[in-house]
Formats: sequence, C-alpha cells, structure tokens
Amino acid sequence: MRPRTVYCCTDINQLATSTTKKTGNQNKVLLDPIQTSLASGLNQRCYRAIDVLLFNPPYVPTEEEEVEHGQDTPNIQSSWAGGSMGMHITDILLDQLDSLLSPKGCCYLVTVAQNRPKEIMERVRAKHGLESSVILSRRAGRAFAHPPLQPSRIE
Amino acid sequence: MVRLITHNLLACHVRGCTTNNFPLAFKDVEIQLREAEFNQDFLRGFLPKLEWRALVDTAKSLNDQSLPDTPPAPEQMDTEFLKALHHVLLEIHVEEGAMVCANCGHVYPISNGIPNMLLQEHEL
Repeated sequence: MRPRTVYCCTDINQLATSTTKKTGNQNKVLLDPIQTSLASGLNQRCYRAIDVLLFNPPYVPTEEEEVEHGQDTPNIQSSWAGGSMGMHITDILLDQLDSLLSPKGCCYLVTVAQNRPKEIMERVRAKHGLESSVILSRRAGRAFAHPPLQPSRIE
Repeated sequence: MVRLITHNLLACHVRGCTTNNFPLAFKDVEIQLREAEFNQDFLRGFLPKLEWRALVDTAKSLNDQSLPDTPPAPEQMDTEFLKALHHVLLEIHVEEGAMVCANCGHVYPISNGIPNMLLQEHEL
C-alpha cells in the first residue's frame, strides 16, 4: 500500500499493540502502534488534526470494578469491560472528540444495543455539537447488534 | 517501530507537565533503516502538521543533518528536499530505547518498536 496515511493505533495492552504490528506487516500496511490509553500522549499534537478515528471500545455492560481492574492491569477483560451501560471508556473518548477531530474529521464508533446508541447520538449532539448517524447494523453471534455510529462535525 | 513521523506527534502527558514537554528526547536508541515508498503528495500534505523545529532537532540527535532549519516554501520543494524529508520521517525506525521529557524527566520506553506512553495512576 502506498504511504498516504499515518495509522496511529493505540491500546493499553502490550499484546494488542504487538499483534497490531504483526497484522500490519502480514498485510503489508505500515501501522504505528502506540501503547497508551485512548489518545493520551497524542492529544496535544493531534489537536483537531485527526481525519478518521476508529474506536472499537470495551462496550460490554459490566460492574464498574471490572472496568477499573481491566484498566489497571491490561488484560483481555480490558478489551470488553465497559462498566454500567458499557459506556465507561467510550464516554471518556466522546468528551475528547471535539479536540481530536479535524474540521472534516469523523469518528466510527462500535456500540451494542445496551449502550443505547440513540441516546449516545443525542448526547454527542447536545454536549459536543457533533452530528451522528447509524451507518451499519448487524447481528453478531446471538446476543449483540453492532451499530457503528458516525459522529462528525455539524456543518 | 517509532518513526520520526510518529515521534513528532507524541508529547509528555504527565499531569501538570504542559510546557517544554515536546519533543521527547530519544535516549539509548537502537535504529533500523527500512526503505519506504516515496510519495511526494503525502509528504507535501503532511508537512503542515509537522513541528518542523522538533523534527530537525530530533533528526540531528540521531545523526541525520539532511534537513534545513526552516522548511522551503511549497513551490521551492525540490526532489532533493522531499527525498531527505521522506527518509527522516518514514525510513528511520527506532526499535529499542526510550523517549525522555525535557521538562519533567519522565521516561517513555520503546520496546520492539512500540512506544509505551502509559502512566502510573499518580501521574495522570
């Protein structure tokens, strides 16, 4: 693939970042994995500079303690434990979207029905001034529907 | 790999560390050079997002003196300049070592080409 894009791929889990690197190599795409939480360390220099932000958050509704445990010592649990409503980590990123997305930037967010996507859409509009829509909805396994939301700036 | 293009986007984020926290200084680095496909349009497009001074100083710290102290105007960017920029940004890979904040001294390790920007709870 021609180098047209810088792909900064972040995860708190070292296993995830090293696997990302291998996956890129396997597919001949140069990815730049960074072990960090969300965009920490990038926020300052990427202020309103990210054109496309993909987020597959830990969205499964769990006890709050499970989120804290997962975030303290990164493990497989931190990849899914989302706390009450499954929105604990997602909400932190949503609060940063306005300062991360470039003027034409957009974010693709994976959610499940228990996250109440319609309420997320209302919230990002009211609180962050971002317009969003459900761009794809499907059944995954027996339990979950996955509607990725696409919040982008209101023109 | 920590390429200089990525390094140019990373700043220290320890709580309260908000001045002189960029660029992070490379320390004890192990470098690999890997050829990348040359793409002028990408370089020209990315240039406005770069902190030029930080890039030049960082390249010098890795013994690459090929970049001018100020970037040329877009119409004066010749192939020689773009090739040098291409090499510095995309072909120098820091595989091992660390990045150190000039302000607070925090050390961000680089292992197997991946920078670790995680902080302890008391640093957040």
